[in-house]
Amino acid sequence: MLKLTELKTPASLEEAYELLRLPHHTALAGGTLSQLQAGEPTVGVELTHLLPSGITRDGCRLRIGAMTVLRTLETDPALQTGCLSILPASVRHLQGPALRNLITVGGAVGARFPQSEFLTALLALDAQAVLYRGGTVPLETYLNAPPEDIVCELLVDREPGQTGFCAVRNSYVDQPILCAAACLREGTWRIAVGARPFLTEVRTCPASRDIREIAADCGASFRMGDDLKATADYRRRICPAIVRRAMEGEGVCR
Amino acid sequence: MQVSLHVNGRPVTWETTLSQTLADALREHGCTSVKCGCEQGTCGMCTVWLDGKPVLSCSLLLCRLSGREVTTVEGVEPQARVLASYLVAEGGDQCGFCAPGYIMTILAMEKEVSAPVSEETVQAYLAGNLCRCTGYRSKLRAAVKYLNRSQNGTV
Repeated sequence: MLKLTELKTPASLEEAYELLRLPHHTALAGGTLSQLQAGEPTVGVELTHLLPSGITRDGCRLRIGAMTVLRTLETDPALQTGCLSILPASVRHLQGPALRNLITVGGAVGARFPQSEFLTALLALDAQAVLYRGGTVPLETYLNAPPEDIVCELLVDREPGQTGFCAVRNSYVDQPILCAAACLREGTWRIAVGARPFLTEVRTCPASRDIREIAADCGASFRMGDDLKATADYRRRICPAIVRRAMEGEGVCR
Repeated sequence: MQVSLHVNGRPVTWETTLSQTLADALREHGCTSVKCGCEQGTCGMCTVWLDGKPVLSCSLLLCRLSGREVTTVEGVEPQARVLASYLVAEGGDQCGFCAPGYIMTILAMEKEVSAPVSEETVQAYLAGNLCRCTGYRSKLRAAVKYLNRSQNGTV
């Protein structure tokens, strides 16, 4: 259990930012990692009241506040059909509604879990992260080298192109053995593969190539590894099939 | 430290620490329907409502919940009894340890769906609620019959 020595409620994002740069200060959002963290005593820095929650339409983009819980994303009426429906598809197998009513978008991004289907879908959609000090950066850049900063919002195009999402798991609520998301826009595919078990990565390639060739390349080029759920070899063998399904629009409600 | 919040419709001010979970606090103050099953936020037995939405009370620190509204089975007893009657009729009660979490999940689901409700939909809602005894079939039957009771002509 997370051992708090103090709970601080900063009055501003600036104060929160400065506090989180101090040693042994931990951001508090949904709190779902509290039970799983057995570490050194730490000062909790409350962020819930400082960051936006909810999904708003801003021209051609969606703004997703960092304190938006995954359940909100899962049930938003505007995300049930169309190309953005890979977002609900990417979160609905995470245990149950009670957990998804706690996990925040900001927490999910900050945690950078390798088995995250949500991050995989976001990468394919070319999501942007709005950071408190660092401004707007591609989510890919943030995930590869997370700066000491606070994720305030995510930005996603409302019409990102043709999309698909496919994951393989041993049982309904299990973490994925492998997951893939694809997005075709203006002649270019963005294909993200996660739970390899390494942190999700994205590749781009021209749509002029045959889908099966692209999918086969993904199986060969994404680094795979062994863990309790599957071997690297198994993941390499199933990768082309799930990438192809994602490219063919699986997981998208039309 | 003290925290003021609403529990089952009543304003309360409770003494707490920086490490006390909502689940422990609720049990300490008499809401013993709340069960701790896994201590990791994975079993769903500790499910309560926070501002009307189902959450895992073992993963929430009471000290962060000032001003919030918490509901347990004790706060929805009339409706819980109706659902429980369906559970008993299907043989789904057994040890009863997971029942409060199950009840809070199904009653929350009832606010979000309208009949006819399929077993598949119920399974998706109950995916985060483990049960050691029943093998789930009886619990699913009970939930489906309860949620569709207006269509079945039963109350």
